[in-house]
Amino acid sequence: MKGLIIKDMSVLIKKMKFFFLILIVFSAIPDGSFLGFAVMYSALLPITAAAYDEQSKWNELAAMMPYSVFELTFSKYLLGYAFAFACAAGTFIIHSFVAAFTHTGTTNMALELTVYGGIALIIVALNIPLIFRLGTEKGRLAFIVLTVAIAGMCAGNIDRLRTLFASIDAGSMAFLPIFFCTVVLVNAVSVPLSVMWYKKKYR
Amino acid sequence: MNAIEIKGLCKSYPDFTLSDINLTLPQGAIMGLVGENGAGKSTTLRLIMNAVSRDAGSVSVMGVDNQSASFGALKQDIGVVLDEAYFPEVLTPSDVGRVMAGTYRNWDRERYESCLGHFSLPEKKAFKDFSRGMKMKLAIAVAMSHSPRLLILDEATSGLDPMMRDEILDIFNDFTRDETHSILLSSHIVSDLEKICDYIAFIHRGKLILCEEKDRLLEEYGVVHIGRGSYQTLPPESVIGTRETPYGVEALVRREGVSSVFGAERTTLEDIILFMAKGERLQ
Repeated sequence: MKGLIIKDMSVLIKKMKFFFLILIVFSAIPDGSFLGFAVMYSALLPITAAAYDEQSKWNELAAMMPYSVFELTFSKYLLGYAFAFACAAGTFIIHSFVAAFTHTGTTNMALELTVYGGIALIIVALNIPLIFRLGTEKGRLAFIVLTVAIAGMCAGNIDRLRTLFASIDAGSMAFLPIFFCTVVLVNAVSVPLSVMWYKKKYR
Repeated sequence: MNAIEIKGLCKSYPDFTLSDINLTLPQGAIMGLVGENGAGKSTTLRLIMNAVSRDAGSVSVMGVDNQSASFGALKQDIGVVLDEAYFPEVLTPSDVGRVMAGTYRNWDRERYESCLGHFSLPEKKAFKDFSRGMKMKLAIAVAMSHSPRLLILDEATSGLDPMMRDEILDIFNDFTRDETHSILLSSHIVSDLEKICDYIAFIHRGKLILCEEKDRLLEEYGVVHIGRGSYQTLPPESVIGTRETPYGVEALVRREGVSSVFGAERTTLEDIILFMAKGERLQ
């Protein structure tokens, strides 16, 4: 699977320089409303990687190589997880750095980023099976609809979300285990679906 | 042990059927798979690698059933070149080397770099800027650089100039000097197959027409040049195919079935394939 990750990373780094610049800019915006934007935006990258695979017909070559269908599909999840984590960590570092100089607070930032990271992983889990089921074009369309819907819901409830985050203290974090279980469960259902639809599409 | 053993292999698509393919490639040998476009050569190679699922039959590669769990690991020992090299277009040969090092446990970086040098491939040029010939050379370099025991090559020499083709055929020939190494090679260029193959398999419209040792094939068949009037004297069961020429009739015959008075001449693999593919018989 290492080769697949190296391949996707190499392709994305070469093709998506502007995209990464945008991610860094969003990560650095001091307005708290943008805190999770880069993290959630990074969930787009596995779809982009799959689109480049489709364009170069990589899947035909990969079928001849010592990769199982599980590895071919799960590598895309790993890519999504890695980018979501990197964006969350990057955002945290940049904001902490800025906060140290401006003497502003970073209360609950780690928690907020963790939740946004979890949402990004759910987006990844919802989108990857769609790519293998519908192809990258329709899959991308489904992603846009899904992202707009989630972003719309978040935007419509941004004040509530921020109040929620602000009201959370160490004693009221009971939702976190439920949230993490949901993230794990959605991904655990998503991976076998992707494997099944990948087989149907390419084998 | 045979490198590849195929029995009763079938695969149906809505517009094409590959039916009842039986062939055996002994270890240490080179087999050429020949057939017109759409005959089923690439489908056969994909079925061997279990890249598509079969409808019926069995495929065993180096003694391992290609649908068994251990076949995934065996793929480490199989080098594949497809009819096009499907590497992502932004990658350079140097990037491809890194990807393959993460893919094949026996990846030999020195061997790969030596192949790149031998084929004059620039390490830092993007794949999208390569000519077709360069792309095929890169695919061959990759296939040769992880110490494979079996090479599966789909039109690997197409798009290459005659000099380079000759050089690559020499490389393939050297590869099989080790008697545990084997090659299954599909090509339209019958002269290439004639040059290096020990066995020839001919697929026509999804059916295997023949699978024989090349030398035996060239011994077994001959061409008779005969007047139209005398054609009827040839034993019909020995005539494989005919074509009319301004001077009479040319017929591909089984030598042992016709009298020496007809003077059956030694023929080429290309002629045998053409006569068989067209299948025309004078009445």
